[in-house]
Amino acid sequence: MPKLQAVIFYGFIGIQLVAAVLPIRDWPLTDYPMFSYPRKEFFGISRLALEDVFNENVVTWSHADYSSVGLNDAKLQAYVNDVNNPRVFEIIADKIKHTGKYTNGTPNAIRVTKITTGPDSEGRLKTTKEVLREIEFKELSK
Amino acid sequence: MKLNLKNYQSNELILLLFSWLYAAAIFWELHRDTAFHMNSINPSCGIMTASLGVHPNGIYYLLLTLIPLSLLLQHRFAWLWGVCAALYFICLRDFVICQSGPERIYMAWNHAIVFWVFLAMSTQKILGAAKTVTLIKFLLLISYFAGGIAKVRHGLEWMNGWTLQYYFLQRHIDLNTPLAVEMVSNLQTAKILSWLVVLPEILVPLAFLNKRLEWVFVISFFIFQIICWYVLKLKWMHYYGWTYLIYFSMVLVWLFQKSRQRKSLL
Repeated sequence: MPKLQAVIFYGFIGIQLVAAVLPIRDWPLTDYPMFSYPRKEFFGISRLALEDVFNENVVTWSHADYSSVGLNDAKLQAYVNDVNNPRVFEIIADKIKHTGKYTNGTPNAIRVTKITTGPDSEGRLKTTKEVLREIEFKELSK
Repeated sequence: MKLNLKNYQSNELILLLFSWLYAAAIFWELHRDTAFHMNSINPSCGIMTASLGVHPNGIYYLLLTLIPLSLLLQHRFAWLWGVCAALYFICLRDFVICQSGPERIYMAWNHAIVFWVFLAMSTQKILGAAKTVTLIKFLLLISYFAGGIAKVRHGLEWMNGWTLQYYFLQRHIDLNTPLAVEMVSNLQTAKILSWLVVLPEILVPLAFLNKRLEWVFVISFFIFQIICWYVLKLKWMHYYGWTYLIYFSMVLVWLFQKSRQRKSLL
């Protein structure tokens, strides 16, 4: 193999190997933090969810319900520490006006719940639900 | 110059087919993401383009023009792929060197390999088709090895089961992914799955020792990526996944040559 060929070929391979093995930040293909950091035992991961409270049942908003009104969990998530923040009411009231999901009747109230999924003492994932706030639908649709 | 496929050696054919398919795919991806990149490349390459006296968007459009141009002219001017790699680096520098923050790290993973593949394609006149094909295959497989090394850099802690549970759960909550929680709901299952992910990644250098083993790894990783795509909604096919076209091209060329052999026997 001519010298230039060998330098390019093995240089290319060498760079990739060095970059893969050594944690050199700022070098392409050296960092995979997305799924690479190990996690210790954790309590759980929480998210906020909206629920429609009808007389007979309670219906949780699906992802499609959120996206149809341009709402994502993150927007509500920002107020997870203070669900009574007036902004939460404003966001939900605004989305209620634009949703087309209540063609068959409106709910009595909208519930904001905190859903936490995490491992129990044996490592099995369990989901718990906590109602943070319930707002009358009439108030929201004013 | 007339393109006559009969005169091509198999590696030349593989590289030719790959460059057609790959360039078309990356062009399509970049074009599809134009709005996204327009918003993200300005801070990324502002300093570099300012020193060149060019608007960042100009470099981006130049890259989009140069990819199909390199595709047409690669027979004579293979070095144009090097220019594509340089422009790609300038435009998407923050992704390629993982500087755009953890929320966009999958973009880094995607874009870095495109940069290196373009660079490998630019060396085809010097190295020859066979070695360029080897380099592209190497880039694909070594990225799994790098992923494996990144996971065991902290010891064996990644395989504690909690890690996989955490990541699967996070994806499930963010994206409503199907099956994610069910797959890791048991800690022991999560531990086994963790080992099943890491072991092939660490052992991938073995693929370079044996051709059959190489295909076993490639097919396993491809299936693994499809599972990840479904279970975790990882957008692996954008940019990164197109590197698999090198193996797809190998299969197509093999089929093409087989059919030619049959015809010549008849």
